[in-house]
Amino acid sequence: MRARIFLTLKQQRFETIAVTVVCLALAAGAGYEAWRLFSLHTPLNCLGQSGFYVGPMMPGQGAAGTDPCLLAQQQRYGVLNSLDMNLIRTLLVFAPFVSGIAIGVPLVAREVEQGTAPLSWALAGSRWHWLVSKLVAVTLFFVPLLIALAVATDFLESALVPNVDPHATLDSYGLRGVVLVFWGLAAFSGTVALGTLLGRTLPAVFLALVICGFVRVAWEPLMNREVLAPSAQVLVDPTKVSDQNGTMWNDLQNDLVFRWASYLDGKPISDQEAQDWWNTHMQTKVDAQGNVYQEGPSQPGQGPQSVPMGLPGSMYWPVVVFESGFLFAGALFCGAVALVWVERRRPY
Amino acid sequence: MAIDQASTAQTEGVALQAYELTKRFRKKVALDAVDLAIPAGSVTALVGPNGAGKTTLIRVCMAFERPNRGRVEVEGVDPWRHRSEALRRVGYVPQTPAVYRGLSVDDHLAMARSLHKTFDTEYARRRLNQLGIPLDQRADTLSGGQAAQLGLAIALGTRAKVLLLDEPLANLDPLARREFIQVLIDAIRQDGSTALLSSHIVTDVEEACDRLVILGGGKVLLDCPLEEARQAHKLTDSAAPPPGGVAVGSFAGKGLTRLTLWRTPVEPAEPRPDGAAGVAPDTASLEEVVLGYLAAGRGTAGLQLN
Repeated sequence: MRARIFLTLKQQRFETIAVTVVCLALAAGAGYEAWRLFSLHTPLNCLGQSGFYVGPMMPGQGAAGTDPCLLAQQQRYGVLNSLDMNLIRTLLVFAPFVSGIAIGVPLVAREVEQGTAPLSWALAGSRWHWLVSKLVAVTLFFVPLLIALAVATDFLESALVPNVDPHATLDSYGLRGVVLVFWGLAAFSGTVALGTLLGRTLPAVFLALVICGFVRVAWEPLMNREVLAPSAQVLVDPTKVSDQNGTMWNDLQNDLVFRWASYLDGKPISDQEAQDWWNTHMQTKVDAQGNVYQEGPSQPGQGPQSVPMGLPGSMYWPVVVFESGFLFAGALFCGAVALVWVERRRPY
Repeated sequence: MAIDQASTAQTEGVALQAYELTKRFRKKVALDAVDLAIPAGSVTALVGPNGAGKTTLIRVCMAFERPNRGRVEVEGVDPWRHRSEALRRVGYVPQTPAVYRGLSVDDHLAMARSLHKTFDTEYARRRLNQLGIPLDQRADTLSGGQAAQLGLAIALGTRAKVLLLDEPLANLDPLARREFIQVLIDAIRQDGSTALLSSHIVTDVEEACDRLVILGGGKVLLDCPLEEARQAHKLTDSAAPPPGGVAVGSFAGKGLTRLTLWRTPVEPAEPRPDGAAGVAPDTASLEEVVLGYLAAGRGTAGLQLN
């Protein structure tokens, strides 16, 4: 088995080296950017509530507004908006996909394309075993690299949001941490299947890029709307919405907000009921200058309140485990497709 | 094993057998109800023009292609139904030497060892050493002849009882062809294996083989021992048949002479003064036999020759 793993990786040595360099360089880059942020020692009171950055573009929101704070904010803002930070963060989003495609597509497609499949399939007898051993070899190599990316992105997140545990916030949860490992595996497995179906490397790469791009863009809206939204819960106590004085909006950055619900006196009401209430209680008046205006209840807590519904940041692990499981199931399905098809396809 | 016992009883003495084997690619018929039995221990030349169905026949034997009708058995095992069982019995040399870029010769042997349980790495190394092929050389830098030898060494290293060689000589120069054939003959004599060697150039394989199968248009045109193929055919440049002769086919000879191949009753060759078997002046060469049958296959479909 060791010989098979070594030879599989040697057959794909360019992809193996490239993926290793890219993943490790990006992990190191993320670590470096995190270190840059940490080394600023920005006082937490200069950041927004929950640690989210409130920069000079948004003065007065949660920040103290004093000069030292403004200076610290500007320094942090400079690092956050630097070219290398943006580049690293952007590349980190694509790294699992591109790496998965780079090592997944040629696994079978290149053997077919270069005419070595007849030789190895004749020797192996069972193509199923042949492909499983290759999949195992590449997975054993690829997973540690993905874990390095996952750890690095979580570390970067802990620098971006310094006083919040990255595993207790759903902020960018799909672009960092454990989920990345499964995105990489899904991309790898899916493109192995694609390469097996097409038997040609370049067309499979192009198609894989399109499919991965589409899946990545469509994933979050679909997952939120179809899967996670039904489990949404009230994120803020409806009886205290009006007492939050705006701090609620910062807290919500740790959460996933799917929709807003109307509450009246702590009880849920329909949007129509809320509208009816406002229609009843709003009075149209005319001021001394003859301007027409509407006046509502005099007390701030009166009337229907809009309450955010979603998943709190404390549900990071359940959400991540669920999405990772979903991606892993997809990876297994694609692997199964590749295994079934490799048994049926011609080796040329 | 149940498969082996049942099938071996049916096909004793036969290494490879095809029953009504038919393979179509859309409308093109590559193999048309081919019945074939390759005796164990024989070295059979599978000869025919391009598109005759030689490669398809071998690919069906390797379970690379699924037959539309009929079946094939390798040592009594149907490769399509029991692929692993069948392929364990087969050593295969593909048409184009398939080597992994960047892997050394020794890596190829290691890979073969990791894929094939009974692969004899030492045996394959010894053969390559005898040919002076460096084991640490990258396989993609080997010459065509050396790459073909590597393919043969891998096939032989499986120690399989049946060797299927799909036009391995097609891309080789005359010297490399000769060397390849010599290594093959030597290995087969040592191992006592069965070989099916396809080629469209009969003179290349004449030396190595003891049996001849001519394929044309997906049909078996001739299937007999090589010696019989030589002795039972005569070639004339006239329309008058030799005694007991049945016309097989006509083709253009040198100087545009129309030559006709005749199938005749087998006669023992006349002894020469030095005691060696002589060759009658109108005896057809193996190449002419093949040409005659191919001409017949093209001109007269359905000709019953066997």
